[in-house]
Amino acid sequence: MYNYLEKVLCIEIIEKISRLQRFLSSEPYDSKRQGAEVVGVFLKAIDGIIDNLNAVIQRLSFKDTATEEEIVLDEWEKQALIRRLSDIFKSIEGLHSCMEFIYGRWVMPETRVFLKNVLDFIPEDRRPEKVNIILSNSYSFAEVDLYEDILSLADIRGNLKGEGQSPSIFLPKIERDNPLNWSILVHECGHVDHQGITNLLETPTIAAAYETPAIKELFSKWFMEIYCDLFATKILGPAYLTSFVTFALLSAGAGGSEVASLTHPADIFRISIIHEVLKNSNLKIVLSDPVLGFDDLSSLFFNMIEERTKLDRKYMHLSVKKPSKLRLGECVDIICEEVDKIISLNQQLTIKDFARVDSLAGRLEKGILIGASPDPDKINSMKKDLEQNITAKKLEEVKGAIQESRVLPWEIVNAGWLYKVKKVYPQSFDIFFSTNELTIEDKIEKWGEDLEGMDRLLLKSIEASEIQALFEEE
Amino acid sequence: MVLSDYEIVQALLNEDIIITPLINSAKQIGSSSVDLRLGTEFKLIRIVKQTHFDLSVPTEQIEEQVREYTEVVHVEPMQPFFLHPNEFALASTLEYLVLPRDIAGRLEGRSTWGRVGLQVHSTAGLVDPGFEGTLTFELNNMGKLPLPLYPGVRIAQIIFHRCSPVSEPYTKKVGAKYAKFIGTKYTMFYDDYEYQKIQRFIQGNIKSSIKTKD
Repeated sequence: MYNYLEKVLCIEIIEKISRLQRFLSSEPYDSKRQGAEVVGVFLKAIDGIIDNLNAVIQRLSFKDTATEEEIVLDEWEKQALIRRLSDIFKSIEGLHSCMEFIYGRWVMPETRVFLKNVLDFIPEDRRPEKVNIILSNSYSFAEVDLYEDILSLADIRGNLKGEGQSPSIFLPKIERDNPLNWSILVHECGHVDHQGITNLLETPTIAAAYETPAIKELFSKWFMEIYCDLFATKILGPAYLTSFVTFALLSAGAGGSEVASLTHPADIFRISIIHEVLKNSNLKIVLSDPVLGFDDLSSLFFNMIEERTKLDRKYMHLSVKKPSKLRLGECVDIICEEVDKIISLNQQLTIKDFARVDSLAGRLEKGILIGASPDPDKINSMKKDLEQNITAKKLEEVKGAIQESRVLPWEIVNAGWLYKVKKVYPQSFDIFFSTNELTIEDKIEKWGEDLEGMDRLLLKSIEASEIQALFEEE
Repeated sequence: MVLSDYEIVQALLNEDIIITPLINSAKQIGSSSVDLRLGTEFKLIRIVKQTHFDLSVPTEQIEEQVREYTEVVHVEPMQPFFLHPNEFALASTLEYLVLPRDIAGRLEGRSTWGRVGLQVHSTAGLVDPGFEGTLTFELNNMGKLPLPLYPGVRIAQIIFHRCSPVSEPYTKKVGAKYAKFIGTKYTMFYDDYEYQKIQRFIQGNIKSSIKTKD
């Protein structure tokens, strides 16, 4: 398959467009209402974004006139297209940040259910009583103490008695009903565990890595990010990496994946660590039909960010060096140990937890809820026993065998990603990169309906999983 | 012929019938039925300014009128939804069901809830062979006290009837409006071909009356 990275980026951008359209249409505006004109301006802007995207799609859809085969782009053109796609994503981000002009909504109950399950990993004495989730206008996931933030804005902190805390996590509005990208919320939950982070920073090896006060502040922030990355990795497995990679691919500007900031290490640096930890823990989701020669989800996505980084390097002539003073391997091991203290080993994912991810992805393909799943071994062993003259006692045994067991939210999210890679991407490539009578607007509309169905399936699966946990008997 | 517990279990084992999540099979599978649980989404009829469904407007606007007519309430697990006396609400099963081509279903209430006045459907209890999706409840509280309804409680049951295989399963039918849906869906009466004809007729009349005035 040619130009996989560029096509995946196009599909991810189409997904954002579709979600933006859905968010706008889900608001209670109709032609008689005041807000219709405001929404109309947004929709007009989306049309412009679609036009820009269509130019890239057209280029990727070109076929060699002699052979009728897809063309292979050279590296320079790849780089140009990727840069163009990044710019298009920036215009979506820009539009997203203007969402304050329209009526907003609170998060879905499913998001709170998902978050509750994540926070359960943090020991009770270290977990805040409540964590808010707020739909944000800016396209960023972040954790802040709202109490602190808002009071300091109003400059009235000193006038109030007593300390307050209101840890809050922001979720971009267009990701409101996309559980696959809630993976990044898990990282933000890591920030809520202040105790764990303080413990980590006081660890002698980590403290020694600072060496000078100047880098102390920088490294403490970086280590905190890596700590939260590993927190999310140990809970979610490959789904965290895939989510992070798509986010990084879209949001990074030129050379972006290699650019670090005062608060965050470079994306490629963080993703390399996550990939390494997944490999070392053997947390692998197998692709039964390898894609681009990769037979597991994490390696495929890691390769995509590497490809983008290499292209950027050629274009930007960047030469990034690892900080010489940082004994990386040793520090990552320490961070891992600290994360292990919160998420006890029996809570962490193992390869066994992924045993049914493939069959769950198969159920998603059929449109079936995956909040619970039957045990095929038990069912097969019972099939032969079920005969016409079965006793009442035996019937109860068979009933027990068909009872389904809970599918955990992490399995649901991983199954969702697997399904996306196995089915959604290839089907979307067929829809958008093959010529047919439909306009791109019509294609996006039809495709958006399917996306909405898939979101619904995943959201309801998360809820069903929670209800299963509440009502299943020991 | 109504399926017995033995036949239901066999159909579930062979995945001829799929009911998921099947949280507690021992409690849910009765002698000739399977208990179904309440989902998390409710659609309540609300008091609106509109006097009727206006068919003289384009379909998208009728759709909008239907949405205006209902209020969506989404409760979290372990949170109640109160259905007040004489109140009507749409809801859905927690379970996703798949029926084969030779089994139809009939949705019924559970006696436990019937005794306090809860009706789970007013008129549409038949599930066609080949149906896939969640089932819709037309909840009505005929009692005198508000009923606390929690997601996941067993409020209904489905009885299966075997028939000879139908020519086309419900889900594959053109115009199967409620197939493969998860959650509670609004009415789509305007999608019926009769209503589409009526709509065209009304719209045609309006146009010709405008011409006559000209």
